[in-house]
Amino acid sequence: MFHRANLRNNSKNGRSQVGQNRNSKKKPVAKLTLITEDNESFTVCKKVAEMSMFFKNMLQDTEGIPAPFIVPNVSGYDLKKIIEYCSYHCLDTDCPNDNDSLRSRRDRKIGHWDETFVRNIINKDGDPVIDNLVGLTKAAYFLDIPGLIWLMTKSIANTIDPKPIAEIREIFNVPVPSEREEEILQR
Amino acid sequence: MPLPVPNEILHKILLRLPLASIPRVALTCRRLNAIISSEVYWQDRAQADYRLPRCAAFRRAGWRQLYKRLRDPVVLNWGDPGNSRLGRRVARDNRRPVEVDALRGRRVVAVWVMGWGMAALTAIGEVLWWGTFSERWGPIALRPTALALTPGVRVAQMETGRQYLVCRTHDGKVIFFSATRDGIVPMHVPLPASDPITHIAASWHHFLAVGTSGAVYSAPANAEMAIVPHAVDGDPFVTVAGCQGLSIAISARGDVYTWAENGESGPPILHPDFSGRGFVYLSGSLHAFHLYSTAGDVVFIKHNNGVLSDITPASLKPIKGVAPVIQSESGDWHHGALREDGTLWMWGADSNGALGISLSGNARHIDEPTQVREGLENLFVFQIALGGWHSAALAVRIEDGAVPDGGQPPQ
Repeated sequence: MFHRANLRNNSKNGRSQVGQNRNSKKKPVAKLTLITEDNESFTVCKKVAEMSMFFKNMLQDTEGIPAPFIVPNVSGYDLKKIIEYCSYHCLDTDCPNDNDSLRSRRDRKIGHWDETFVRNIINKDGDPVIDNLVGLTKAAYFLDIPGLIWLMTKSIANTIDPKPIAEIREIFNVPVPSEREEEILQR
Repeated sequence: MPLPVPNEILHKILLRLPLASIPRVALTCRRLNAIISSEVYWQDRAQADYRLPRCAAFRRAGWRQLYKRLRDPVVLNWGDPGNSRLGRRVARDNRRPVEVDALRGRRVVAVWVMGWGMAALTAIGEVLWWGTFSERWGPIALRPTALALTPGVRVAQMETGRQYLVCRTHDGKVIFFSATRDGIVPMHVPLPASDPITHIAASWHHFLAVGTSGAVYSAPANAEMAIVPHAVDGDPFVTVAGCQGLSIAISARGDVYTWAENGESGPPILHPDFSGRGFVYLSGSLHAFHLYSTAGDVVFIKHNNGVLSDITPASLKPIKGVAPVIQSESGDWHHGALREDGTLWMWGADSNGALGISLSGNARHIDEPTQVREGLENLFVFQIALGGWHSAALAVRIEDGAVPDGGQPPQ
């Protein structure tokens, strides 16, 4: 059984301190400070940050822990969710992975924790579901987090799978094709 | 109005959809339709849904039709039938490709050749073997037999050596199967847990593994498992292969390095003649290895005491308008090349039928690559494996000799 790294908010300075392992009090944990494009700041431990290949490569190429790092293309909301995901999965050896080449990559079911994680994205501020899922997918892509890419793309696929064509068009904001266009598609 | 989702993300989303939903989603709009109609989509889908080996990835066309037919592939083999290595009843003729009946319906997606046997991986992750596993201990399987895997273990890659089989699991571990007096015994290879394995290779007498860190680990193929790490400063290895007496690796910069099997003669040596030419993958056999480039070049290299020479036959070099070679393999004394159009070309020593071609008179050798026609009628070959004196091919059936060239995805 492995320990789940926790997510903690530091409300005093309006900053979040996330991704620290509860049971790692004695040993100093290397930390990384990240600042998003909308100027939110987060502190994460190295183990959590390294779930992202982007940060992992950066940390390998950099001697020591760098100064606050500005993360372009990622909003505070998305980075918070990303850190929540990475904190939970950073010690998970059997996390479904976008790099896993097995057919089970598509067939694997979304786990209970992941399901709740996705449901919370859907409920955020009542915003359109697909926008939040896509926003987080883009951020996961940028930061290269294979497990989260799998979860997000799988969740979007699950969202659109049972829908009729008209609803899929609505989800993706696609206009109804003309008769001629529809003929081309039918071919 | 354009979709707010980048194409590469849409591509991934569409890969996660069940097959039955694809035709419906393709009717949504031109953009989704274009992604679903692309070769890249069906290539990725084939590699996600079936466990196609990396050597099958160099095909650029025909994926859509190949995907459809992968549900019912045909395993064929030919050559020396000794030690029950063909896994089928051999009447008189072992000199042409013949289907291994026992594998019909097993959905084999890759075949490998061992010293006196063969092995296959199925779409559901079964590892099958037949023939004689080890010259000393056996055991012998007259028909394809499933290898016992620990429940929960998912095989991501499999490779075979002379008398062993090695698997990489989905979580980056390596399991080594060898024969003892007690039968076939699996052993977890003691590689560093901090460096999950991304690729493995098996040579006749040693095996190799590439770690996430870019280090290569090699070990003689025996129970001692004396692991030796190999690395080059600042240039991680991305893939590796082994020949008799030689290990070959390609680095992230595209440089080609070799060293004696387990580094007995010192650190990796750079080969400038083959470096920086866009080689991204390689496979090895007893005396030769094969380099694959992103541009579609497949080069045959012979090694002699660490000296490498390009022995690619002129007729197999890229020619405009001719289907390119997408896989090449070598046995002890024979060679094979698979073209993108599903045709198989063989040359070298016949080695008791290993070429799969009826030779006239006393001929026992073919200098020029020659197409194998007999036994492959109405079949489209998509993977080959060559061993000492025997060969195997994996094919799909085609109607009226038509080459896969597009069509509707399976419903």
